[in-house]
Amino acid sequence: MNFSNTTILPQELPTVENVHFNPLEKAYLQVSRISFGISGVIILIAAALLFYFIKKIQLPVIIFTASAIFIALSIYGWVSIGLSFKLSGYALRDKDILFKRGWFMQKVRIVPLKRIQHVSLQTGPIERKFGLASISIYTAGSDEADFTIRGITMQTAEQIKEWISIQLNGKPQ
Amino acid sequence: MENPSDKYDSWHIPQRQSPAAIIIMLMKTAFNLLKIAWPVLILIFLKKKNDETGSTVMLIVLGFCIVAVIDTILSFWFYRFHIDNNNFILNKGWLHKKALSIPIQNIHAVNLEQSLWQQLFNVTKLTLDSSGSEKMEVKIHALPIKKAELLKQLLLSNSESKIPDTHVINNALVHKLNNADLLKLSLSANHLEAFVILLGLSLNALDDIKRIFSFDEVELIRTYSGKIINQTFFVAGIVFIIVAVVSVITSIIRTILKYYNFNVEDNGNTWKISFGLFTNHQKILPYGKIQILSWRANWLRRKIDFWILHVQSIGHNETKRKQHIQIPVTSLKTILSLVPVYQQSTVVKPGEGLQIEPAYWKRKTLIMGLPITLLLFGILYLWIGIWSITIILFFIYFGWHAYKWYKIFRWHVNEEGLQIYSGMWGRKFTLLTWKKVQQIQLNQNLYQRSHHLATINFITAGGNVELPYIKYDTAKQLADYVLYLVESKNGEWM
Repeated sequence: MNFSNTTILPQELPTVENVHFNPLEKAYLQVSRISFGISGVIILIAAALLFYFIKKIQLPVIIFTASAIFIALSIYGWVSIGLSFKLSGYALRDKDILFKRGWFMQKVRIVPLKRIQHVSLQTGPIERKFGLASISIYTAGSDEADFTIRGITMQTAEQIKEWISIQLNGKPQ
Repeated sequence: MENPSDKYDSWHIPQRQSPAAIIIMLMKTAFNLLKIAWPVLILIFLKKKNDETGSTVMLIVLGFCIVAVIDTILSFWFYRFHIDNNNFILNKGWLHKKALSIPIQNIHAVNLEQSLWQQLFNVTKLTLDSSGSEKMEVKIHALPIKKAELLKQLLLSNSESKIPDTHVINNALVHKLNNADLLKLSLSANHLEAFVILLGLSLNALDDIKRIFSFDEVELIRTYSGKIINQTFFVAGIVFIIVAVVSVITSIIRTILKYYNFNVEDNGNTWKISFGLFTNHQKILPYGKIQILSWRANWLRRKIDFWILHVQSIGHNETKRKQHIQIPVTSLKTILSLVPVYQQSTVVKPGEGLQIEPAYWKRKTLIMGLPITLLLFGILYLWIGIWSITIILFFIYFGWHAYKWYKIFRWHVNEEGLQIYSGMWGRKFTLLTWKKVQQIQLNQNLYQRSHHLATINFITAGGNVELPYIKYDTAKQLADYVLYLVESKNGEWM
């Protein structure tokens, strides 16, 4: 009978701390800021229309307060995107995939390859313009992706997708 | 007993539901329509017969009914299912056609359910639960019982989960609720919830009645102001008592309808749970499908040793969340006898295990309690002036609640999984088995980063378990350890 019961010391385990995270593509910072800018312009137009048509809110106090909030949120969003970009990254290991993002609340997500059900690759119009793509990782029981790695080149995304598929099924998806 | 393989060939031919499905579906549609349109119907019956508006509305309602009948018949006609190449195929819809294909090996539960209507026609409803990540809702409203049992047997025997046929193997009754237990369960239920629902419904009904009768309560109050003001407290008291009594009675009726004849049978690797007075529910739960197991009791139930065992099986979305099973259990001892099907390790006693960091309750009080208090203070100040300062009592209670929660919270890790004991007035035990983990999240906000703390979140196919505010080094070690266990072992996990 073959039976082994080797002692595993905690210090011998591979650690999450020593993982080298690959940074996202620099172009992604531009993509994020352009998307943020577009959202800002849409909100600005909506607010302007609201102030133009509703006479009751055409008061200096309301206009000043709304403008101040808008400017403060815009500055916060702009800075936040930059900080979040610096702290985001992904890593592929033999047996799992890691992704970290966020600066105010930093989240490191780790999914063992064994638990992945499928992966999908997608790219939006702005991302496409910069040659970028995103890859989503799905596990069981959820209709939504567990996490999406954004800000990687199309080539890298395809390579990752193929690598995961090979790890899962031994052949590309 | 009939061998399912004998009938296998017939399942290759697309087939319809039992014709009783038409009546059941129609009843369902009528009930839904009635729920929405009852104020309009009352209005029609109360208005004079020569009223032209009433006739028009009546015609519209009649039109709706005809459309509903046609739609139901067509839906029934185009709703066909069969088995092809180890896939369960379902074709439905006549305007918007839809074809679903579910690999049989992905089906992990087949549920049979009999409501009053189904019992009347001697048919059963069949629903499929699959593990795929796409939305696949299969609901066959009416199938003859024998046929449904046969289909269930066939699907499960071909499923990867290899669920044994619960009719062949002898089931041992492991838990049952008797009438006294039902009464205990209903009396200790959250009557506040029923109270709020009832109050909401009453206000809604009052609103509808006002619209029908063009009733103006402000005018009425003006007319009878003297009398009403004198009796305000008396009337309010009476109304409160009536609503409270009705709430308790509603809770009791709801509980009896839902949990009547509740029993759990065990056949060695599957639980068969059946319950319900008019609607007979039957759930098959293989042990392996349990993702997270927890049991909890509110303050009153804790005193009478009455617990609700919450079984989280696969499914994150809201539709599947409803399939999570709640088992009322009459003692902690009974729960502890059921738990080994999920986790063999001894459940730690209250007070044993590790604590989270005290920063948890301080931060919670500061970040959540303070803004709520300030907001309430602002609102109350406009209403009662300086007396709004008493809201500080709420802040003190909030802080005390968070502190007590932190003091009671315990977590314990062993080779098999994680155990959490928590609660403030009530109590909750949560068990997570490591092999069920499919994602780990290490979260740190700015404060946690500067104080070397972290919140670790273990995500399974049936929900997640969070361990807040532990030392960052401990969180990392725990993540490494769980990843090692999950990644180094091959075994069934879903």
